[in-house]
Amino acid sequence: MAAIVLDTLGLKCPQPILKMAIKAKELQPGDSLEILADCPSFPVDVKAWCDRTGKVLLFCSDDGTGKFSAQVQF
Amino acid sequence: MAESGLKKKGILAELFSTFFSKSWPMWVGGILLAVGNISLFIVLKPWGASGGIKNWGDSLYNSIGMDLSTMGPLLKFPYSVLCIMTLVGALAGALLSKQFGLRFPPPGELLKGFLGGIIMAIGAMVGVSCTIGGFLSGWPALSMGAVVYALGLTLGTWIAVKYLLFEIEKMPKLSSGKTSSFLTAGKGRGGWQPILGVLVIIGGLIIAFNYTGSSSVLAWYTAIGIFFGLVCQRSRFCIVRALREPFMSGDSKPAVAVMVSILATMFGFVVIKFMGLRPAMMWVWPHFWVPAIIGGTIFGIGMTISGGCVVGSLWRAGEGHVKLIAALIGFALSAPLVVKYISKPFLEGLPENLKQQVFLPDHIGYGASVGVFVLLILLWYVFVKWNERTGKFSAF
Repeated sequence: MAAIVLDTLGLKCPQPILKMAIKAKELQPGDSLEILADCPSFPVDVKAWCDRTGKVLLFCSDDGTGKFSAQVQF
Repeated sequence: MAESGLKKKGILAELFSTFFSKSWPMWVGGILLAVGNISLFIVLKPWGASGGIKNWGDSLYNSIGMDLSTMGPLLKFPYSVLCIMTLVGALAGALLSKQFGLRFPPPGELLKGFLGGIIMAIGAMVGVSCTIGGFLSGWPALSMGAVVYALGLTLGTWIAVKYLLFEIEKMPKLSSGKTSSFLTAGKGRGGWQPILGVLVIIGGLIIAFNYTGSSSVLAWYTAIGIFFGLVCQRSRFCIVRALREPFMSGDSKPAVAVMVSILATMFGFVVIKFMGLRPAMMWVWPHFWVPAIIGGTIFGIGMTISGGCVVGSLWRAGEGHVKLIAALIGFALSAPLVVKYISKPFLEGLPENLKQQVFLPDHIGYGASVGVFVLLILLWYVFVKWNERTGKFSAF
């Protein structure tokens, strides 16, 4: 079970979700992907992506500086 | 008294928090934008954006001695004022919600923003409109050219999504590299942002008030521009998302928000036109059908590559996204040259029957026309919801 971190800081939508979707192809069931992002649309996007693809969004938190950290369970 | 004072402060803080702590639902933004759009039509004309940004470029070129046709001085042409104030309103919204920050993307993304702006300028000038004038205002104006323009936008978005997926897989370095951000708020810093946001709003209203002496139209365009920017930023209203997400994540919410906005706007526009308060042909552009399909497709490609249409770029520029500032610069610098060297010769050489102004009520009456547009929106709704469930057209 791998735990991968994907840094998309500085990129605006749709780049974070695109990068996440491409990275997701490399992951296996049980793996987890942590995504770092600062695009204000990211929380909505990651939730929609997880709902759409059946992945589990463990959390999506804002560190108070506009930077988000989300963890997705595959 | 003290207890009452505390309670009063709490209530106001709660009110502020309601508007500026979380983003508003996009459909709420759609309804509010419809109110602003109808108000603009009552004041003068409906909402449009590409002409305003082109006027920025015209004014710049004329200031350095080039003689380009212009629609008026920068601060006296209503649509260039509207665009400036939309940016100002978004800046205020971002500051009030502590979301402002100058965000520099990797160089490749910056280049995509600039090129996307140029491509949008070509699409807007060839297609005689953009996502606002040719779609968000064009459908409520009951223009058949706007229907064709929307088809072009959809086709262009689909092409550009394919490109973005190709790029991210085959050329990932283009969107990689050093990024930086400045002036962002955070824990223990950025308390200045809401204060500055209030000052920006007050400054904007003073500008609007100053215009009342010379032009009530410009005063209203200033005030409504601030309103548009604020609403777009708080609700993250984005037509690119509405057209792009069915081909990307499948999420239907942005598309539904745009549908809600179009329907609400149509209600007001039809009343205004039917009652003869404004000319019926207003915002029915001479682009049915060749300029609309070509221009719409090119514009759709440009906006998807840059990540925002003209208004989307304006409000994100107000938020501090440098990529979208690059898109606006690309649009403003290229639009006047596109008109002179590409779109004017192209449109003048096109036979009249390929660039018609088609106002649907002229052919089937108002009632049936509204029915046709409601049916089109219903079909669009069914498509995005079906696609959301099945993922038939979604990339992932």
